[in-house]
Amino acid sequence: MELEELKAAWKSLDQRLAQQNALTFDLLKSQKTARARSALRPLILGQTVQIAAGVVMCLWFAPFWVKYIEVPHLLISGLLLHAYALMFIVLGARELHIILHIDYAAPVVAIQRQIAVLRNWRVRIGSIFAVTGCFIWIPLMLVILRGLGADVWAKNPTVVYWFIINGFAALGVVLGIIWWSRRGGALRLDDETAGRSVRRAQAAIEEIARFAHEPPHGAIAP
Amino acid sequence: MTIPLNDDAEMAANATFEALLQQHAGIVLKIAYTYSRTKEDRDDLGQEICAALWQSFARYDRSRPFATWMYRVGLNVAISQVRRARTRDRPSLSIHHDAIDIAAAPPPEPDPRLSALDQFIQQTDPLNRALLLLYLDERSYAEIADVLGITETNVATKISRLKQVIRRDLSVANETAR
Repeated sequence: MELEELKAAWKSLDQRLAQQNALTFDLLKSQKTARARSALRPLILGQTVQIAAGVVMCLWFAPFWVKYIEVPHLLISGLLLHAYALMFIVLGARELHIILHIDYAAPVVAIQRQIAVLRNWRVRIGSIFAVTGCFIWIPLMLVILRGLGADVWAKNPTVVYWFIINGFAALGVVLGIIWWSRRGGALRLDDETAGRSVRRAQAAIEEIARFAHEPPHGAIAP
Repeated sequence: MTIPLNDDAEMAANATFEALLQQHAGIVLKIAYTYSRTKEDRDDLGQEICAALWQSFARYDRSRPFATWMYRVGLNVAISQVRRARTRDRPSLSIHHDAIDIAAAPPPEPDPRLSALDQFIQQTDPLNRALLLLYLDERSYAEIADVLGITETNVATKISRLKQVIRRDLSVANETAR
């Protein structure tokens, strides 16, 4: 079989697809609006909720650390949670901005690079959230318990040490799951947080770079 | 930003869009065929592409060819979906060109050329698959460069390499068949 036969096969496929066109096209058109909504909504909604949660957290934690500015452990707890809330807002806003500005009508290489960079960034951010999540509940517990009238660190610091040990244990579990997932273990992690996804996202960026790479002058093969 | 349309303008935009979509429907179907393996996947991808086309239509610059714009949107949607599917590690299914036929249509005779084409398409990476599709569709180098966002020189080089790979693979297939 020669190259021309491949082209002839493509033409025959074109004709067959054209014959089916009338049958399939109504189906394609009928669901277009619903699909357009469903494709973007979860992404936009997810980031909007994240930003809103960050704002609520800021409004809660800022007055807290201001109130306890003289009490170091409560000040640090409040500041850590405030920083975490700011991270929520900034990362959510950045992702929302990128999602809303992806224009599929732009050239393929540019958009695929943009999407690959976004995916790469998301999986790395997912890891940051997973790691910080192992510890951020500790200052949160101190703040909540203070709100309920108990200053755990002042009354019994051993409890806080136990919290920290538990944080490291959770971190060990998270790292273990990521390691297992990288080795293709039976447990299926959410791909957004798995280390394997980082490698895939990075591989996609490299694949696009190779494709877009300009050949040296005069390198056209006959 | 999209300017809100009144009812009449929206109906006119809908009608224009549907007429253009109908006129160039083959592009959607060929992209869906090239990037999907089963009939269900092709229907899904076709719908995704139509949805994205409709969404982007308000920003379509009418001084540019509709087909070029359609290729860009369709290929971007298809490549993104292939990459998402790869991340999910979906089990791969063998491809049969007969699977694209609607149940009502009589099954066609198996065509060995189409099987060879399918096989070659599926072993090509998503970006080079876009190049192959545009090449087989006999688009000019300038148009391919415009759709993909690379230079014409780069298109020429890649097509030259692609031809070499096609010739090599087809000759291997011919040898095996003998």
